[in-house]
Amino acid sequence: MGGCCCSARKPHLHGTPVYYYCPPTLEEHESLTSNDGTATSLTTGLLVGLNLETSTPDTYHPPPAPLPYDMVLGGPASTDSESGRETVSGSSFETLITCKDPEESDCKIKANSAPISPSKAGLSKSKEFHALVTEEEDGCPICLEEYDVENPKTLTKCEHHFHLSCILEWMERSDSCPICDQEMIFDQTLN
Amino acid sequence: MANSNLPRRIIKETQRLLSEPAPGISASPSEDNMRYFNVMILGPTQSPYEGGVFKLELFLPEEYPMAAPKVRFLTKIYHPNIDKLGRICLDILKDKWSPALGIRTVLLRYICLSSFTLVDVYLKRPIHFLKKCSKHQSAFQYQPVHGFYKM
Repeated sequence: MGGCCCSARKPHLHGTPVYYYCPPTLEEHESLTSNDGTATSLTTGLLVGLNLETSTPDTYHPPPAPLPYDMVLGGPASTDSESGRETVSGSSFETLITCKDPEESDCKIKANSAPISPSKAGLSKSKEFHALVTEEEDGCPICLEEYDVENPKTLTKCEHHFHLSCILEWMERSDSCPICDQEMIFDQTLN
Repeated sequence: MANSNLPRRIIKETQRLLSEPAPGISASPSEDNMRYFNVMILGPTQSPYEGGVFKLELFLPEEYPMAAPKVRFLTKIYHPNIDKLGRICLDILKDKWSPALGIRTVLLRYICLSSFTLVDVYLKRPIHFLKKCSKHQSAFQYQPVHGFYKM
């Protein structure tokens, strides 16, 4: 069953472009596994050609071959899948999916009409920041370290948290919240 | 010597990059300088860059994460937001940087998805853009997807 799905999808993708198609998580996993060998061979061949480039500085040592894309890029949909695999909490994943489904249809409409609008870009950025917080819920988004008695959590009016030293260092450069870009105001009640 | 003063955030990000690679992206730190990363990105599917393999370099300045990482394409690429030297015109790498972003987010979301798909702004004139692509074919590592012309 899984094998059939993979083999059926691959020729289709090669032949005709498919937009906004995002396989289920399980299927993606299978696709990723089965494609590893093929992708490695393909990339290895390409790497041989790349070695002929003279623009690459001597200090460049190619990293391991990238994993192949196991999903068709659909904007928010792709990000959803990525976030889903990383998030431990199932409910959090579901929440992300629910929030972003309307966005996907919106993306389809926009793809066929006007260029990306500024508000769209803003929304995209905001969602990404929230995804970051979800991944590191218990730590400071700036230094990625956990909070403790010596270095406690400092809340802001926009309900984001940081170490006091981290956010003060950032505020030397900008008055906006690193996560949501709103004006930075500390929540007085907790201080 | 320089690596001994490496902030813990960079160590954590490096470990995660190596243990949880993102699809289409591979990044590893240089042995000499843990702030310098060799990056390789596959061209996104359903874009004129599909099938391409692009090498980039990424450097974390002293002020990181308060200052943006520096990223540059080493592979030549024809793209409206990437110049001849491989420099990327991307606001989050300049004045819109935020310390809540990371290496992985910059590479995956902003460079791999947003930058490559900036060709969306040409959807009104897809043939025009693809004609430009064909004129610069020698700069690509692949042939454009034939089906793309059907748009």
